[in-house]
Amino acid sequence: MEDEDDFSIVRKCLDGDINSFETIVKKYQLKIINLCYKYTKNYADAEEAAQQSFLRAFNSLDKFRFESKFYTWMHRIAINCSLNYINSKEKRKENETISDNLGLSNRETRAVDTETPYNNYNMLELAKHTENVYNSLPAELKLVIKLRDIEDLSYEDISSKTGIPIGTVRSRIHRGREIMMDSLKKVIKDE
Amino acid sequence: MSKDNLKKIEILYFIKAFLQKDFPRYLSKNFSNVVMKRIKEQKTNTYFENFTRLAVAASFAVVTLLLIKVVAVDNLDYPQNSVSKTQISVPTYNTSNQVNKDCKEENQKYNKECCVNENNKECRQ
Repeated sequence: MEDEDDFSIVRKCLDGDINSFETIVKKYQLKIINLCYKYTKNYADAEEAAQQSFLRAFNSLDKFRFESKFYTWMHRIAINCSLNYINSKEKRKENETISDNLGLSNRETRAVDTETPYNNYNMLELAKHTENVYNSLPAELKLVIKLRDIEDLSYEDISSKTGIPIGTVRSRIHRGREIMMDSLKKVIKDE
Repeated sequence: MSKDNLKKIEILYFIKAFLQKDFPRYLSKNFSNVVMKRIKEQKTNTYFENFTRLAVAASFAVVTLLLIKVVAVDNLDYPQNSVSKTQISVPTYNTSNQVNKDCKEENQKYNKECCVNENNKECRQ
């Protein structure tokens, strides 16, 4: 299974197809949330900052110049959003402290994190499962998956590096991914 | 893109993130839905805002036109009868006549003086 490249998705969005932006969200949600977490140190805040990052990216798509990779551009936006989020949160905290000290706080009931474990994927478990499946793959599939999905090499580079014809590289990657995806799909369904 | 394809992409990128060990510990199951919902809401709000702006501008224009029509035109008291153009008579001085008169008088006075003194060179010329 080969996914659509980012530039063509961005072009579709710019032509008014809002729904195609969901592909971008699905592709980068994990990386962006993880990046935001490095700044916020809290998963709920990281998700909020990541949501803001995707929103800002969508609103600034017309400023994307197709010169760098889409993820590089998105990465910068996520860092800025995380920093803004932290700053605004600190300001909110300061204001709350001042109003508490002055006795002005109207003691709003703060939104309690209602997220239950059933609303979240436990990524550690899914990662452990994926790793097990990956390790159980036949060596020839494991090699191409490693070069493509971990080292991010192109099909041509994998072909020249391993000496395997490009068609075989493609089919092996496809087969390896199918095995891993089928297995992960079952786990996700059971969750 | 169909839901099935989106799910496939999501799972493929889960695998990539797991293999690259670049993933958060938790992920809300409806994360992408929330993002898309916010984007669509924002888009609807933008349409609504633009529509409101347009409506306000149009109603402002209509009200202004009505005001111009009612206040500026109807309240002007035009005379019922036709307007007669009155001649403005400003006292004028016929300066050329005045100069001529002065000149003649001066000339006569001068001639008299000339006649008294016939030897006057200027007078002869």
